[in-house]
Amino acid sequence: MSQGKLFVDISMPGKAPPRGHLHPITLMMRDIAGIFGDMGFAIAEGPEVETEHYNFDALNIPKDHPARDMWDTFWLKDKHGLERLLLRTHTSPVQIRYMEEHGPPFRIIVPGKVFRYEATDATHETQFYQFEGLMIGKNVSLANLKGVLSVFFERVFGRKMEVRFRPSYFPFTEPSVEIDIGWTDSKGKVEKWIEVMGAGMVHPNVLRAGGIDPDKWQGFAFGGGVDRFVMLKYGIPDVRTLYTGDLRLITQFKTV
Amino acid sequence: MIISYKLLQTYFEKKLPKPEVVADALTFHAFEIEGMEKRGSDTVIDVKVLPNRAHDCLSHHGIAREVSAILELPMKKLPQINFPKANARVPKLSVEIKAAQCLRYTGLVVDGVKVGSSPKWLKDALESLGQRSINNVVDATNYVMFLTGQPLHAFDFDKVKGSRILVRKAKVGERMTTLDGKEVILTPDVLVIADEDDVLALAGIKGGTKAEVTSETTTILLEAANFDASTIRLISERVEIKTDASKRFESGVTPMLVDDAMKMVAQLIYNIANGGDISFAAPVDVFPKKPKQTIVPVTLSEINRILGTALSDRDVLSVWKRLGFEVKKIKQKEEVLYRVTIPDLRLDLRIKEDMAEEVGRILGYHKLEATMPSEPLTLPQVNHEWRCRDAVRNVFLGAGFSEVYTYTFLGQGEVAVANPIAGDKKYLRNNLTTGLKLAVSENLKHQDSVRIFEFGHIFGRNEGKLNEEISFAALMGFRKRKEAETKEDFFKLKGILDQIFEALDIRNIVYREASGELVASVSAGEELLGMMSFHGFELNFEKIVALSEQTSVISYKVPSRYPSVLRDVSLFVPLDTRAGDVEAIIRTHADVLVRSIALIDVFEQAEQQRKSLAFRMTLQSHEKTLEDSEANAIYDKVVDALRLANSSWQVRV
Repeated sequence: MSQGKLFVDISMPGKAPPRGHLHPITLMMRDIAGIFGDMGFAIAEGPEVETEHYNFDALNIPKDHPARDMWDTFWLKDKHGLERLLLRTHTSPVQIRYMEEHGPPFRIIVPGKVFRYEATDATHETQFYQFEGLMIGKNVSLANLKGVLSVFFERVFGRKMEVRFRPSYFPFTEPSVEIDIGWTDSKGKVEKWIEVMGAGMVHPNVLRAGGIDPDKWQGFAFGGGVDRFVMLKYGIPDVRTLYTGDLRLITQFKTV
Repeated sequence: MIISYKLLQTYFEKKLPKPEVVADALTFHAFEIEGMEKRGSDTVIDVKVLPNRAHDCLSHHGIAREVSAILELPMKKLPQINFPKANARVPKLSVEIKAAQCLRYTGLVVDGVKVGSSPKWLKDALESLGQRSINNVVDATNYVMFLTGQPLHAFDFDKVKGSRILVRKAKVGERMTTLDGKEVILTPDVLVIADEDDVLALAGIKGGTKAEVTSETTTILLEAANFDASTIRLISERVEIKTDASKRFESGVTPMLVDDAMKMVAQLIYNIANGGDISFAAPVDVFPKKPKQTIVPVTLSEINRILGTALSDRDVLSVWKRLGFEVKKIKQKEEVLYRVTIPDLRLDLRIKEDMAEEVGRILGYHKLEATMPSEPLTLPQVNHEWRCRDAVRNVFLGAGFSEVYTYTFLGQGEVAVANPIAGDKKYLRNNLTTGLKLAVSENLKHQDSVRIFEFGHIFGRNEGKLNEEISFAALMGFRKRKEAETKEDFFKLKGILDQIFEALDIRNIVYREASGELVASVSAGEELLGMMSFHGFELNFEKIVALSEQTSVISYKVPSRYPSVLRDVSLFVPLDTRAGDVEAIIRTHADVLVRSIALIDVFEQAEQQRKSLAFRMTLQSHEKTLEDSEANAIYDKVVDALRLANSSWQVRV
């Protein structure tokens, strides 16, 4: 070995800290933002503490209306003027905030944390992430919603998905639908349907609250749970494990 | 709403398809089905009626109308019921509405009633709906409510003082005991049904004991009324009583429902509670303001534009027909306008979008073809904050830090939750570090070192007012750590921050010593960004995003064609001297030809209470190759300056 090249034990490990890992919620939000970004949707965000106006009234959910019971709300002791403050129960207030700042046409996707006052179990958390989509134009229809979401589901799960609409009710959309996706077997037959989103055509009162003339513009809105998509895509059985910071879960995910 | 398949069948001549088929029809055209089960010889379907249809579909009749429209099954014509002829012998009732929140009050006095147990068929029907049988009179009112959606109530008329019913606001200090024995203290905003002396019932919510129907009762007063929806909701929340009646009234039942329900319950009482000589008074109906009939205009192209369909006039007309809507069709050139008369029961149909929904759901949303929007593409705005977040994440990943999400609710903070879910979740977090500390200690149970970071909203106060901001924080944790390693950890963190600032092109970062547990503050010039400890840091992310937005446009400079020359300056300084202070002096006195200054070596000589610092200056000209003498002159100037700056510094030449 006296002549020849310097000996090096190439089986020894390289010198660099082991790379960190991204949280699966981040990965899913990135996928969502990327897929909708490709379809021309901009990312918008908003505050987690909201006023009753943005979280309810402007979304056509009046005070003293039974529809308010659809969202179990965390209230704060603080007030904004006379209005009570709350933790937003959905990302929908950003619809109004965005409309106030931007004229139509537009398409946005709104990822963010939301809160529900409810007992926790494997599928319910007091905090979770939602993503909201909003597209306003001259002829944006319910059939377009089906088109856009079909592309999204196929891209996010990496396989063709059946998409099914069922009638529903949300005060901020009319018509309103629940959206199910269906996993198909090799013969194209749906094995099971899973409810993943609420959606519909933006209610004219909501457009008005955002300063948009509903006689000239129309569009769709949808909302789904980021956590739920994470659980479905990666087979995570308990939503609560996403918020404990347990690295045994997180290190199973990507490092880029 | 529990729907009995057997009761549903009574609305149709033809045999209904199997319960599963009915449930599927409702699922895809009207309501979600929460469950279905056999109860005795019946099958019950639990239909989830959402608030927009609670006014008409918390009833078998409402669900039957839906099933009829969806499955195109004609409904049976209900036999016309007429009140038995009024009998003068029956005591007279007078009704007075003294509060505008009562929209209608109909009272019917029936004499010669025999209160007893209900016939078996009625008991069975109520049981399959999950209801307990009480007596024939009460059962009749409940049963008719589940059929029609109209809440009803029966009083013992002999106990109604003065034979008078007053619908009024409660008086201060008034009390009432409900039928299930709850004592309610009333406030003046509560709407009540009263006689001359006392409160008989909480209007639209619950009856009281005073005029309760008992086995002794022979004369009853049947009430079918209607009240303002939000008033009932407010009161029922206030007195904390929710009933089948209040659930319906708070959703805004139409006052037009009263007539059929009253006839139906009178007929039923006649059939099942007849003491042998039953007789009826003429009903007393106080109905101050009849609601106007609603007509909604909508065009065929509006429906198609909302749904994104190409439905024909025939398609749409078939939906109106199936729903039993009266329609006036007006053809104008290419366009078809429908003027749809909305049935009294459908309070949810008011605008063209509502009509589009009826068409969409009745025909079925499976008919919608997935099509991409044909709108002109507008360029989406770039979200700068989102980009910055990813840049920061990349730095963390390279440094071996993994991302976590922790809880917003904590046991301490500055902003309190009014209705916390648990004692240790009373506040909103005012930093991320507390959550990271918890996560670190949990993870140390499984591994001996932890490196994590988080982005999130935190909530504090600014001059008393709630202040929400986006923060980011990193924390390392070890089962065991030596002092020297702890120092190293600090510099690793500082290195990460330097990389982050470099990635975001933020300059003028200043680190200052901090007190207590903290080691340093991090500022951009005078603006504080956040704090560092030995093992972690937390910074205001919004400020960083704003700073990175200010950075200048890149303008390319041609690199020098001439080689660079190096000059190293080393000196001994006392242990507590800051390298940064020394570097600042070098920088001040260095020539314009000095392209960079870097600290290249540090070692300590503890016994002599000193340390050595070595700085490397890289000199380069754009015009020529530097002579040794030129470089030496710059070096000498720096050395002189250092000697002059502090007498305890020993420059080693």
